[in-house]
Amino acid sequence: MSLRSASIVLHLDQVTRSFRVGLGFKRRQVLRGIDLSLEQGLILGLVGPNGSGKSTLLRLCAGVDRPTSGTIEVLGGSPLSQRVRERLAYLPEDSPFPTELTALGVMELLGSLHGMRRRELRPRAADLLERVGLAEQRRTPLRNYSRGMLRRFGLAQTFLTEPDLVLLDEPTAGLDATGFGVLEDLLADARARQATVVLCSHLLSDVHDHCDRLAVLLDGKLAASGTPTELFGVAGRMRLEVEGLDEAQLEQLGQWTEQHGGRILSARPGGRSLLELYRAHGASTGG
Amino acid sequence: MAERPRAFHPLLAWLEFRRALGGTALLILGFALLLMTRDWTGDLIPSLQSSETDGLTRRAVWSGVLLLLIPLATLHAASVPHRWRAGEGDWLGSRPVGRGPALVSALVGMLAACALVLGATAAIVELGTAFNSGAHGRSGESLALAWTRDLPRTIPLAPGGERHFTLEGVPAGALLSLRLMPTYGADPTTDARLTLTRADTTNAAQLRIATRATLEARAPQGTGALEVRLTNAGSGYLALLAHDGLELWRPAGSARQASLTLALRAFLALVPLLALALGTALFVGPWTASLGSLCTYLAAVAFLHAPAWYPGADLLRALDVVARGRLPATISPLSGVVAMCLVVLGLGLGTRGLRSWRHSP
Repeated sequence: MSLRSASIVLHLDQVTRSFRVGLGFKRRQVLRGIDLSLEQGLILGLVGPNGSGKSTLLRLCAGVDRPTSGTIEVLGGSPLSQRVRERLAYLPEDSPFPTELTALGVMELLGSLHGMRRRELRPRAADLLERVGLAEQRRTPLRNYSRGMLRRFGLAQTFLTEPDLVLLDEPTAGLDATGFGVLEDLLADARARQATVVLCSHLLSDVHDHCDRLAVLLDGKLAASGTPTELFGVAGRMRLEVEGLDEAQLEQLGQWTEQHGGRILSARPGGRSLLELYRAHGASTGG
Repeated sequence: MAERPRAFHPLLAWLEFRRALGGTALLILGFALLLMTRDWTGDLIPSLQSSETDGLTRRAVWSGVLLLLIPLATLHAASVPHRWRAGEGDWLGSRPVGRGPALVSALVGMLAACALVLGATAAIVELGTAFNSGAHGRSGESLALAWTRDLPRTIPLAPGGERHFTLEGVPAGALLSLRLMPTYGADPTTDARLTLTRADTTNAAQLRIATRATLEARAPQGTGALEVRLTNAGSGYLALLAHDGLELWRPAGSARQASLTLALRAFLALVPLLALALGTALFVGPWTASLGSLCTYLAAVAFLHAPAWYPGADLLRALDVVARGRLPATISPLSGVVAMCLVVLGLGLGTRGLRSWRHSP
């Protein structure tokens, strides 16, 4: 255990990562001196455009890759140590799981790599697959899964071992409507367990809705960090979603806003989410 | 909740086993079945014993299978790290799995698949030859005659000439085999007589030599020194191909063990090949790694003259012996030790190369 505060789950100090390109004489700098700390129980949103180094940073934290320089401390140790890796889980962006195996087979494989016993692994895997709406397809090879199902499976495997640190790379990319509900459900679980989550995305809605803190990566550098309100909030501007008013009352609300010097920037008819629509038509969402 | 992480991961080995088998195994076994349907004796059949026709079939089928299996299995092993680094490392490298145990598990899985293919080939070959004949013929196992290396390539014998030597420790029933040929002279043919004497018992064999031929006789009962006498009993000139044509065959079990010994040799060759391919593929591309590994094996066969201590290096010679309806010599235990050393080298390289499960962002 380091001398740093015990509540710090993730600490990066001047982390850089570069890769050889071409014939190997040149190096491409993907991460440039990242400093970051994250306390236990928080959900950190890592945002940035494509190629900003988000996925590389998550791989370094997951122990899949090593930094070129700098140090990374995860759960009080190196992410390369098996003791630390037992307590973390990582959802890669591309769902590169063995597609010839069934969902249950992959769960058993992954659980066995963590040293889980079959008698505890089987019910846990079955429960998670049920929660992500894949109970009926648990014996189907992953190659027959749609992209949305694969993403839901990816989420399920991430929470198989009840990890203390969860690293999610673009968890909503390719996710179907059911999957969004699953993600919210699993994040709520993680929050209840005081698990720490790093969620990487380039969608504002992903990070704004779920995260306690945000870190903005631009061209491999940490450009800004803070709470979503600090980073995205604009003084005097608030996004409202109103329910229970009729047309006339909504019009009155608009007039009241203008009378008080305000201005409605956008207005569109409110409606049900896709997930709510599915549920209204009796679909089993698992979420 | 969790046990201590293990040094070997059976389900990871099982995954690699499944992948290594795939459709390629079926292709190889189908090829073996196809080869079994062919006649490999050609024009020789009238002069061959049943054990020799079976031997030619064994050599043909095993040669075909090994020519496919060895390069394909090596290339498969070399492509495993590429697959890991292309994405699978994301889920594998983030688990509490050591680099060494991951490599060991992958290697064990692939070797188990190879063992299954070799076992199935042995079953196909032996079941196939079982319908050809029930006779086991002249099975045997060659005893090293190291001193023959010091002999000249040929020993000429003039008409009426005689060559005599003594062998120690030859078991009863052992078969002495001499390869002979006529040499230029007035008479293009001659008669060769081989006499083996131990104590008061003598076994003899005689053969007219018109072309390159093999003259054989069995050692009499007893444990003492064996007196060997080769006589040129004809009017032509005779030459004994001493350098590589002088063999002593110990009586052994059934010739059906031939497939088992070939399978073991091939497996022993594959163990270091796959380990080296797996290890070096973490530094170079899969094609380069597999070619490099195959070259180390071929170098041992070609430049070191297939030493018994190099795992599976005597495979070609063993195939030739099997083609003659006999059993090759027992596998040297030293080759097992060398195989393990090469496995350690390959896995050591792999562990070093697997510092990162990714090569690019």
